Amino acid sequence: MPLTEDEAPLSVSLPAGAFDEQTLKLLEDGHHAEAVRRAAQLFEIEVQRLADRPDLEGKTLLEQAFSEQRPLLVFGPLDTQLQKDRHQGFRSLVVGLHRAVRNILTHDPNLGIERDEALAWLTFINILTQWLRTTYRVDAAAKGDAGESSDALS
Amino acid sequence: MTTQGAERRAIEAAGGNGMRAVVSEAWAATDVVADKVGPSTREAAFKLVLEAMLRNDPASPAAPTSLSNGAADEPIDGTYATPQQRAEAIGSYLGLPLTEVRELYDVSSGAPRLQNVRGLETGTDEQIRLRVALLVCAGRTAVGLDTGTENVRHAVVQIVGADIDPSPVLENAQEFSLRGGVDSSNRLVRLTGWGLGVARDAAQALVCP
Repeated sequence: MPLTEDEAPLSVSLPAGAFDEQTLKLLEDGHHAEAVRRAAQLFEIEVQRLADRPDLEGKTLLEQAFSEQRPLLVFGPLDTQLQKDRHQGFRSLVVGLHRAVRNILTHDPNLGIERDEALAWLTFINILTQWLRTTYRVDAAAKGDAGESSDALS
Repeated sequence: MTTQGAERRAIEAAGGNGMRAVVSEAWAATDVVADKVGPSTREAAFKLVLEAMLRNDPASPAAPTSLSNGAADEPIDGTYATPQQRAEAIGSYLGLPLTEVRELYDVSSGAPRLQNVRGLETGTDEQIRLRVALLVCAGRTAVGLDTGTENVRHAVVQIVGADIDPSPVLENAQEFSLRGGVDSSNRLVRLTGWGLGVARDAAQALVCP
């Protein structure tokens, strides 16, 4: 995914504490793609933690966490079109991060990216993470009984 | 959204979807202060109300369980609406090619069902129940459905013909996390992170012996 000189982002600096030491070390050691892949992976682990769903991973986790009808995480009410757009747009962004970035970097280890591009991706992931942390978990099932009647399940 | 109209819209939007009702009710509950405080204060109030509702505060409207909202076996969104989408979701979740997903699961309806039981019925009763539970839970989780102990029990009956409550086995297995009251006949069953790996191994072993 190399950028041309004209497309290369301007100098980018990451906010302090935005990423863990290992991700930053990968970046500083020149393992740019691995740094971005790890940051994307940590983002998904954060989704998993906030949604309290260790049984979900990857695309399945992200699609279900930000499902349109039965989301696990919400920014707030989903009544207006604007609220729905934000929710669905965020889902598209995070599923896109998984499919277009994390998966590609995982399955194509020879894919190299430049430091500036890695910084741009890390900035993007940081913004997604900040947004993610403003969501609320909606997991009523965690509170108690799974239902008295099996009819609801059959 | 600061009027009674907003509350009405919230109730209408709830429809058969209990979660949306909870969120909307929490937001509507903050209407009383909407004209007196700033947006950030209202948002903070909304968060507190929502958290109280999700904690099952008896003073708050009851939050629904995902197993009792009447939509347990209905597809969520359009994401898992077709057999192909369901097969792809299970394939992605369990790391199986589509042909092998279709060998193992009947995905013609919204709730995937185990259909290839060869190899599943061998071993001790406990091993069979665990393996069936892993595959039933994984197939349903992949398409956004919750799993109850009743789902596991039905599958065990179909495969080995014995009607045995799976709860005692599942409770003690590190592959599962059971939620809900111990007296319930239908507790919520979820895979743990460890269980997801075991489910993948079990599914792959069945279709690629």
